[in-house]
Amino acid sequence: MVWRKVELPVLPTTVIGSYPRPKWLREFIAGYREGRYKEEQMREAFDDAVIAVLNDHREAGVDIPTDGEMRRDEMVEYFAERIEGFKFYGPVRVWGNNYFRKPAVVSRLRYRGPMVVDEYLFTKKVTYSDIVKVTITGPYTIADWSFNEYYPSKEELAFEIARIINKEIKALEEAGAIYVQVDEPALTTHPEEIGWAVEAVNEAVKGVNIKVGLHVCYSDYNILKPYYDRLNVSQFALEFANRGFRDLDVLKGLNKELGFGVVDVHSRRVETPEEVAAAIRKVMEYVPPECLFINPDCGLKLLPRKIAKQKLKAMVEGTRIIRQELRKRGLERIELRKDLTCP
Amino acid sequence: MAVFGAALVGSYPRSEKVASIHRKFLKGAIEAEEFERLIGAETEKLIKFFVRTGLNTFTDGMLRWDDIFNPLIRFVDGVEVNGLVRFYDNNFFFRAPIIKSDPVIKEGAPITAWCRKGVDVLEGLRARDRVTLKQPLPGPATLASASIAEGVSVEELIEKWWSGVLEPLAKELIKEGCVPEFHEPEVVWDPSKKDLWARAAELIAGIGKGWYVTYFRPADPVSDVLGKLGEGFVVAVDLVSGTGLENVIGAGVKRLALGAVDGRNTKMERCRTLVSLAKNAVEKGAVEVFVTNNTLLDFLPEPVARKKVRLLGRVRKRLARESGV
Repeated sequence: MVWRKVELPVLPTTVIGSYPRPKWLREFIAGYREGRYKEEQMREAFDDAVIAVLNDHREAGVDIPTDGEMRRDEMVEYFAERIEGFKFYGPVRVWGNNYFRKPAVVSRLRYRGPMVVDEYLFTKKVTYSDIVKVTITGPYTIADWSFNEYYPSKEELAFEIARIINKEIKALEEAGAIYVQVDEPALTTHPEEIGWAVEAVNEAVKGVNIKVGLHVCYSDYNILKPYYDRLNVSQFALEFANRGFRDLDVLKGLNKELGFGVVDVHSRRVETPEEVAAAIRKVMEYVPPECLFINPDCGLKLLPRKIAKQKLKAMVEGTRIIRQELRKRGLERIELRKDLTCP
Repeated sequence: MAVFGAALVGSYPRSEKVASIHRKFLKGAIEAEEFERLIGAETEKLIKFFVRTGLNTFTDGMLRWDDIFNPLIRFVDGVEVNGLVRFYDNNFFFRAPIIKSDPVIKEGAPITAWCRKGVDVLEGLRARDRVTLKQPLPGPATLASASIAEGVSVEELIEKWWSGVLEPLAKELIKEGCVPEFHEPEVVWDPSKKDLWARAAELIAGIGKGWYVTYFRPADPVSDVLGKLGEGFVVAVDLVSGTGLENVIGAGVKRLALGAVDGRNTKMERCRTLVSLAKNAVEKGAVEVFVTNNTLLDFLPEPVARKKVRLLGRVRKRLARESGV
């Protein structure tokens, strides 16, 4: 697939990936699991939900939407269900009353075939936007959030997954995707493993010729800092609102695009556009506006849909305040880049 | 002669049923009184399960708790509850305390009453004389390190958390027949601050008895800290993260809990291996040895945790049989 030129407004707004499933979809999924609906009907319901999500994103004014990950129950289990060699024992708590079905690796992992290409193709068909972002969970996070009963080490497991993810990203590229985000929320959680974890991410994106972002959240970014150059991605999408925009100093020396997290996905309080604008002004002291994307901290799926949409609106309105200021400086449009450095 | 046991440290996974009770309460569908009645009933079932398996020392499973800090910090004056923070290197998050003024435990905080209810269950089962019930609490080093406080050092926070919250609570628990179980992962996570951790251990030692639980990293780099606790304390070390028992025992720790059942992996351990580990610790100089989970069982799916608890029960029976105790 050939890379194509795409123009975007300065400070493009996007989402990290997930979005709350509509209530009717949750009910439909429950019905499907009880055997009341056929697989074909379930697929149609997912498609309809993606259209609803894209409509929310469009109304909020998001420049680069995703499909809200409507088909995915959870970011690791979705992939584990589609890769041979995983087994599920039951749900594991992540915080409060929130769970995920943590998979266990019980035999050699094998790529069975495309996992999210159909998601991409459908989203591309129905979207209002010029481009869409496809999210894919990274090899280190899948390895770290799985029980390893088979491989001699987590490192070997992560590299096996990286080779599988690499096949998937190349399949997406082949299908026409130009913007993929590798989600690695676990990347910095074991500082002693970061050296090889970064190489596992690089293995996953090896030979890929489209834009690749990397999402990391809720951790100590100082651990990531020495690897800014080493990571073969064009953008880091990082959570900052949850930490009250502390730790921005870690962005000194960043030579890539930043996807800046401006709304807290774990709080139901909707930020004001002015708060968002203030946060963007603050981050522009560290990252030039032509290297900035604006996004929520993380996936929005745990919020009520109404609040998630309000947060996106606030994010877009806050971004527009800053765009007006930038227009006075003659900065209105940027080009989507896949370069590993910015500016 | 050495004494052997099998124990549960920290939490047991919140089952679907317990999760649904929490959900109903959070949504306001049930009142606090009903929540307590339902959680109390589930806790009772769990305690009965632990007794049946043959564990002789355990917690109540912490079914009322979200993590080792919550809800404790909600019962503390001078503290607000923050956004989510990752719990060490786990895909598990807690809400951290933000210190607004000196933390002081609120009058009527229910922690002691919860533990008393567990003791009552044991009495009902006539198991009180053969079973020890522990109440997990964050240790002062871990609690101070997890706190968000502007202009207050970790050293000061250790003193404040201890005098205002942990010491009075631990004393109350002992009075009610529970043994405080202090969780101190921070001590092994960052051994570079071991002078600070030594001070925190001295404070804990002052209450005379309890469990001191470390996990996620090997304990031998802080052996001298553990040595400050004295004979009244059982010290739990994470053998899954590393060994180094000689140093710990050499520092004077004779009552040991060997965290050899992995609370972060579904792979099942072998009974024979666990029994050997316990005997080995005695050969190295330990006088009382418990085999335990290495960390909170919340990181496991409940069916796997159940199997691991049963395994601990088998270990205890086998140790009893082979040691004649």
